[in-house]
Amino acid sequence: MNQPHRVLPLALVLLLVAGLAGSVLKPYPIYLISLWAVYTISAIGLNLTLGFAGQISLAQASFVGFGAYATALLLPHGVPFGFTLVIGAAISFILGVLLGFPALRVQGHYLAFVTLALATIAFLVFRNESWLTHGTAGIDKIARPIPFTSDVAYMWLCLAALAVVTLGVWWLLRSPWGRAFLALRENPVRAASLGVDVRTYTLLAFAIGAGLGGVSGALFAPLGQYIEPSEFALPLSFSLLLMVVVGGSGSFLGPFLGAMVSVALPEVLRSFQDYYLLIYGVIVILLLVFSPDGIVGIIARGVARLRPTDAPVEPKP
Amino acid sequence: MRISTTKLAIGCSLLAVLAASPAAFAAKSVLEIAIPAELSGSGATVGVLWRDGVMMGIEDANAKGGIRGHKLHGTAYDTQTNPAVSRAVIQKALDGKPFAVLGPVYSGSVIVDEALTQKAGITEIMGGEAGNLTSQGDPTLFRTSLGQAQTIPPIISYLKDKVHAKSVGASYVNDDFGKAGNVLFLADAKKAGLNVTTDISSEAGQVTFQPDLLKMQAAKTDAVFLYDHEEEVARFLKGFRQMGMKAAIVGGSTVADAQAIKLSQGAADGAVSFAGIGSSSPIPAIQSFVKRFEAKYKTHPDHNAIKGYMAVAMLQAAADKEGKADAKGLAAALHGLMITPDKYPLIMTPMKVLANGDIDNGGYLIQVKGGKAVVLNYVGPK
Repeated sequence: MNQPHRVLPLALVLLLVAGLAGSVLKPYPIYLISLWAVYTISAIGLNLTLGFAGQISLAQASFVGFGAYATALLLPHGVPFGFTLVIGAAISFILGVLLGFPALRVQGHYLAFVTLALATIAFLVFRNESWLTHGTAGIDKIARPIPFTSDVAYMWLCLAALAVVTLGVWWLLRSPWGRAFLALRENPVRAASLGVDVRTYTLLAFAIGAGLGGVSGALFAPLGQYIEPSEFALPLSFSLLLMVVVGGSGSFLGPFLGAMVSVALPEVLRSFQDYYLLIYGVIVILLLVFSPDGIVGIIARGVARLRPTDAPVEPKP
Repeated sequence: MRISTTKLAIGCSLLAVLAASPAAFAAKSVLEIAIPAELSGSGATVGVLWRDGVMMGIEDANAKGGIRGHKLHGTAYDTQTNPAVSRAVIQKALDGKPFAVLGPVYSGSVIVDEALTQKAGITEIMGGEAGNLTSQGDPTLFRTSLGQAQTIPPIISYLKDKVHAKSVGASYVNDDFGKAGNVLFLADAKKAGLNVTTDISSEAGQVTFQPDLLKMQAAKTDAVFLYDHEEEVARFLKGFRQMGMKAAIVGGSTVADAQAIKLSQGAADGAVSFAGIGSSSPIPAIQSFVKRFEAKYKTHPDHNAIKGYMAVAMLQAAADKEGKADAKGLAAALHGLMITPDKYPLIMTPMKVLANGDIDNGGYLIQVKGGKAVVLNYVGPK
């Protein structure tokens, strides 16, 4: 399940099935599928930073926020959606590079705290700089790009964006960059001794992950057509981290499955009323206790069991 | 056997009526009430009380025959105090074609919801008080309490006419509630010729207000306008008294709220607020509601529970005005409606629904004296 070339068709089929199902469903599941696609893009970005390059980040929500605010603020000025998406991704990419510098000096818990600081600063900027961001009142009536104004059309746009990101990351992971990321995660010293430019690839791991957060934010703003600072605070960063870990950190399919659990499972459990979040929490805890490598780990073990074992070879006389 | 023409005509007519309206002999359908509310997350204390108030209202309405013979059924949806989730649950609720939507309370969730309820033509009666909610021109959105645009002007008048203040320092909590109130206060204070010497934001959960108070002390303001949550109001007031400051304290409804008075341990004495209908309002029907609510849910209801309860009465009155329980006509029937407790007991105190979706059901100028909220003046609905 960790081989991108093996699971790429599966991921693309998953997107197609989601889209076809969404086209015949009611607006509520259509919204959930769109939200899943948007969060999956962001989780793929974080998976690249955390799962493949081994750099922890609690600031992914901030990058989603930068992308969302760039789109929400630029669209009313007549800037086409495609440009706002690129601008949002570029802002997040640049900030990701800046965030990557501390990662050159600190690791583990210390790096988590550095990224936590950025997340806090970003939230304060979104909330307090109301001359630009409209502060706690938020920005509403964010227009969807023509011709993707209907719920179904916008869902297809989100799924198409996810498909492009999926193909891009698949290519990246198969390229020397992807191998360098893995080397960085497994042993930075050995990676350096083999000629991997640790500095450049650490910065790139943050920057690409952050850029995908920006893409996700650019799609998020017109989806709900309203944004406010609290949506991009720490709870979203934790939620995205949960998506990566629950899905299977460092696996290609992990973010897809993790985001599905995070978006769909609470909705499925709503019939338990006051207890639904409690049950959701217990399920997630049990999942991680029994399968630390996430849902992908469970599937991989299941597939391995189903495979016939090779028959013992009789020695030739 | 011969059948007379008259008998034949009567028989055919009866059959025709039966065929045309089978529902006439069936039980009337149940009206679904969607209740999106903040049942988890930072707004849970507010949303849970709102939901319980609505549920109690539905129970009481059903005991009296529901709405035009239709029983009501409420379904609560947790928004998790997150607009993105709120958008999902309101979509789920609207897919079920509800009779009306009662909730949510937080501004962000209300804003994402109202766009969808308006599109669906479903009436949404929410618990939000932020000034901007009803200024968007949504004909299907209604409040259940006074908005900030109605509660702040009486405080400005009090500052001008009773305190004779020339300068005022403002302190507000930097969230959607506090910021929206602060913006309105600054605009009204400017119009009234008050000099706002300091305008300081605080965080929800802020422990100490000493730096803010030092700034206000240095500015030597005649009065302090405090727009914060109950716990922070108490902390601010304690610090204010410890520093020996003498400026008059005025503010939003939380300044003279029972919780703030209790937590401030005497520091709230002298503080004045203008509050809409709440659990301490000296209205017999409200006091009876408070006792029944406490007995049922084992907790004290605040104004959010009362607002939720009254929202059900608004539906009853609107349906009666349109003459049928039709979801599409509810909003139009609500505009300009005067609802009185003699006809609709759940409303508890007379309420006028205004053209923009605001309501007017009166309010109280309250001062804290000897650890109790004392009504200085009652302003009834116009």
